[in-house]
Amino acid sequence: MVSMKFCNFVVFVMGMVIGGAIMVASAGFPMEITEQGPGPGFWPFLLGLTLTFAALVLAVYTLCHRQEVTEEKVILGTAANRQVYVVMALIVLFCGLIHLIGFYVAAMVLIPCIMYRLECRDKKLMLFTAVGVTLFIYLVFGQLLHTSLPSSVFLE
Amino acid sequence: MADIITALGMIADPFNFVCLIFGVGVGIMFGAMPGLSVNMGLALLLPLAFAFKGMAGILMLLGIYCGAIYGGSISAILLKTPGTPASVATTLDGYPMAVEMRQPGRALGLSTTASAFGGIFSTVCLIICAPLLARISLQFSKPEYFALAVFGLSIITSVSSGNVIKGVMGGIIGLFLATVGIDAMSGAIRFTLNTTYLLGGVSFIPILIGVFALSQTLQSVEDCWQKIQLQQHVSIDNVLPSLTDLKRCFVTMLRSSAIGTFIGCIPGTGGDIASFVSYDQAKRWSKHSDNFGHGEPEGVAAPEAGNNAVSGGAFIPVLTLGIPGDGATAIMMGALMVQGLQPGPLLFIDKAPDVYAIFIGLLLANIIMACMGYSLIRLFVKLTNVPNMILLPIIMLMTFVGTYSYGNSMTDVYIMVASGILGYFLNKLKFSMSAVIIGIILGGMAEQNFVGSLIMSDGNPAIFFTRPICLFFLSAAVISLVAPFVMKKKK
Repeated sequence: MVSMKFCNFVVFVMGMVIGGAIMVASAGFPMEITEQGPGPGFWPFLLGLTLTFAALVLAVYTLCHRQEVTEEKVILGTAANRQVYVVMALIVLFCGLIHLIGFYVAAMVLIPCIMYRLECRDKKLMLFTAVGVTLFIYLVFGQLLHTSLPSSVFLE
Repeated sequence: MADIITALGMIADPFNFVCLIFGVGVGIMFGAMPGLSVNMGLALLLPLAFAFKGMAGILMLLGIYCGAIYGGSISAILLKTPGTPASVATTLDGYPMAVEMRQPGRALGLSTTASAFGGIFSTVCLIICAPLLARISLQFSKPEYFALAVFGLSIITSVSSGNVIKGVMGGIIGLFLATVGIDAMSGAIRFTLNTTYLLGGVSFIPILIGVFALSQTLQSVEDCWQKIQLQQHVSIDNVLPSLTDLKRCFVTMLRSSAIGTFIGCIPGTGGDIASFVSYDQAKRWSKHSDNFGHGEPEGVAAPEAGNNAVSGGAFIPVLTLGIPGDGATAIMMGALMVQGLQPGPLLFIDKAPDVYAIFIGLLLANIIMACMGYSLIRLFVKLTNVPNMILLPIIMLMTFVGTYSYGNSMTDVYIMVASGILGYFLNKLKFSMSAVIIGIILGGMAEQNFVGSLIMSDGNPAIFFTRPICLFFLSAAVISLVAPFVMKKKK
């Protein structure tokens, strides 16, 4: 559990970095205001500047309301959060698996894995859901809408 | 008249009509299941809407939008767990009526009737007001449109976000993402990282599915951790409301519908605010105010009429000015844009039959919603009992399928996953994801009109402060951003 004060400072730093990066990148384009209007770098530069300014305002706000933002907690480390992180990892893994074994097979792996993480222990239900959903996707998207979902790299 | 006949022809197309019915059914399902939301339903089925060319996809999304707002009341009444934030107020009297008074059918019937009443009322208001407003906004020029975009974005960040400053930051990031790709004014290629993928700009569909569907699913995974899911096994006999109840609630439904429509017109507000204001007003004006909180019929009808009336109201700024009021209307606006319908006053001239088709579609969606509510309520009640352990993996998989099928690109899928994971953490930090999305959608409009205004004035920025309407919107934008701080200080 971290305080909102800490998070706000992280957001402040990120805002400054992103805002600064936008301004630097925009500086590579013409920015002068001519009769043809401002150059293509002007608007993004303005956005970068506003983002930097907003980040500064956030830092000042956090300092002015120190007690309030210190008391406010951001919950990121509980068992429930860890559960989410595992699911996130499974999703990222799924992205890799799609390349390797194709969408349909990867889906048959992902569904039972997530169901298991959500405390399902009924193997029949897991199998039935995985097969049923994959079949549904194949029929609706693959056959009806003619969407060719990614196949295995070994089959290409 | 010819436009209306053409629109009726579009709706009468069997495939379009089936899509509308399908949308309403899916919408009610999404609304009824706690943990799923209107935005999630719209985001997930958006790629499917693109697969259906023409009006069919739009009608399907309209159905989802209307159905999901209503569907939230089912779990609110039976489980005391609102399916959508807009249904929170419905639990106050709906649950006592269904459980303590043992009249679930009466509560569900009242909510169905009030929802349909509110939806139809607001659609009629939309049909009357939108063309008038479009006619006025035809006189707007580039500075007014720029000011309008700024106003829309500022009011959304100030109302919908937990923290105004972070809301503004989110909006700016959205506006910046909209600059990626080829600049429409100068033709310069900006921030593409030398990739061809970004030449056409950042595709907002994967981001939208990520932040509205995947991140919400991840949040549901957290919320359902080691929690016993409530199940409801009630026998529902009659869901048609009695004449006595209808007489008792008619004025309340009318008042709440007007409140909901008005609130819906204001960007940044939504069904949750409309339902609470409607409930509060119903209690204030009712002869049975003591009965509120104990299963009062007016207490069920008021929030439901109010939140469903938002649907028509929210379409007024979207269709006439091109300003989405919340995440759901932003998705709808995105869908319209992808189908070649650019919201704004010119839409009423260039694509009048499509506009009328949207009007008729919205009207029909509410009627179909009522028919489904009366006839299929037992099925929808059963759906509220589907366990999260089955539902959540399916939705996660559908986010992948939906994103991939949109552009047949794995890069879109990676962007969706990254947006979903980032969205989960940003929600924790009280960032408004709606602000980011609306920033992306309004980005093009804001920049093009900003540059266009400066061309009009030979580079003089005073143009934004010398035109009354433009000055009005910009002042309102500043007030909406500063007001939360002033009000907090006063408290």
